[in-house]
Amino acid sequence: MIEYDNVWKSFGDNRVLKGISLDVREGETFFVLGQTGAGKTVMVRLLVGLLHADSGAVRIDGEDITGFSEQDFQRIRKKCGMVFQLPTLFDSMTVFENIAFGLRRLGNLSEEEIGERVKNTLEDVELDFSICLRLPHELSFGEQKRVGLARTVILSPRYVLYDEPTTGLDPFTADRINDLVLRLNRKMGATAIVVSHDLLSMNKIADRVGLLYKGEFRFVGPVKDFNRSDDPVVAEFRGGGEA
Amino acid sequence: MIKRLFNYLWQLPFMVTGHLFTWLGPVISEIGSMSLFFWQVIKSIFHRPFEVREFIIQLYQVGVRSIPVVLLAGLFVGAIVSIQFHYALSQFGAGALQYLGGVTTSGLLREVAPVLVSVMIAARVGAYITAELATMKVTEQVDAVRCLGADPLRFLVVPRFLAVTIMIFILTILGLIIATAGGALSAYLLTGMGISKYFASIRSLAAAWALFNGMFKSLLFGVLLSTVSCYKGLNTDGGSEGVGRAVNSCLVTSAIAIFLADYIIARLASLTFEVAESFLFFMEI
Repeated sequence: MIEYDNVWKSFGDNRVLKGISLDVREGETFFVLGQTGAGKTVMVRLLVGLLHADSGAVRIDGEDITGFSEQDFQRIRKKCGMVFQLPTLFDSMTVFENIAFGLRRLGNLSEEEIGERVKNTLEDVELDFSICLRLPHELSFGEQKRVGLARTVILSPRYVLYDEPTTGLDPFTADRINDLVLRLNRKMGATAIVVSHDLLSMNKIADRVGLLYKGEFRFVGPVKDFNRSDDPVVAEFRGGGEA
Repeated sequence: MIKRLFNYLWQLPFMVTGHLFTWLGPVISEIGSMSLFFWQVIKSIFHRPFEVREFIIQLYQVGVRSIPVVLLAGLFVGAIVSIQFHYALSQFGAGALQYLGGVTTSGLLREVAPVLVSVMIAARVGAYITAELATMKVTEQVDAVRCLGADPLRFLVVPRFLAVTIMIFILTILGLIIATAGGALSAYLLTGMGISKYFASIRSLAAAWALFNGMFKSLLFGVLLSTVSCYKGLNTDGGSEGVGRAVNSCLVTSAIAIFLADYIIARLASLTFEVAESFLFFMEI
């Protein structure tokens, strides 16, 4: 389980998170909505040690990771995979090397096993094995996003953090990514936090949703309650893109 | 009017000191951060796993691809230095020209080859490394490296640091050989001086100390350049504009660091000689 307990985070004078508290339940897909700059990405970055909270506690499986060192986070990152907003593929590596990158760091698999797992994961993200030798710049943006997704899920993390998985994609490709996220989460039995402002995605893949507004959670609850809520801020946000 | 001028003059030293500290503060802080970064890189070299594949790629990028430019520049610089010394020695009469090979090669060994190769590599490779790492930083690839269980220092910095340091050393030797050949060729074309006579002069004047001096400098410049370029790349922010700023800053900082280190070594070497001479003088008494 992932828990945020009165977490504060500022950048200079800008208070991004103002004491947020949240429990993400085992096996659920929790969707974090909010405007640009609301602190959605900051929230998930705290979980993998790319940012550190100013105060409060962030717990993963009951373990407070707030004061963890870079060394400690190596252990946490094995169970917490992150899919970034940009594909973040390594330009000098082929698709195969990108996907196998994390597996090779583990150091306990043979090249044959790695090859087999890359092949299976490419099938999972609906990409053909023939793209393995291509470089990232030879792929479309949608394909790059799927390779980025494959690179994370190949490690079978217990917790998957998706930062804007459908941003910059056309509706058709975005829908395919939503299907993939849904299917992969079910297959891995993973707990997922999806950060986005895409209401179509929310309605398709989320179990529960939280709306971050001015550094605090304005709403936390099931998707159907979000869609019925008469809170003016929720209604205004929903009005921008009701599914 | 006089009172205002007096006030201004009275405040001037304080204003200058204030500006100096405002400018010096960030510079000292940057030097401190870079020193810490260097120490972390040195510690990371001895941690497993060592990224062999990345190291070989970097050796190719830094070394093999720099060979043509180093050879071309070395040939012409050797010839130019030979021409300049030919002009200077000819002022002392025809007899002085027999030292042309020794004087030219000594200058190349001590100063020209290590500084020239380092500055050229800074422009070609240092800028490339900074731009590459800075782009990785601003596009979150460095964060992805961390999230996938790798240490950016071990995976990205150590291979580049070692490749630059080793290849500057090797390229300096290569540049020196070709520059000496360029000097000999130029001397032959200018004065008709035989190649064997030119090289005999090198043996008599270019001491082993000069060779050691040059090689030590090339190693030091390699360490400075690799540290600056990796540090600047990994400490970039602000998108594509930040990448441009980082590359610019890498080139300026590297050039200053190389010339400053060169001056300090030259000064230390001359002091060492003075002390040694004084010591020998007292021993004779």
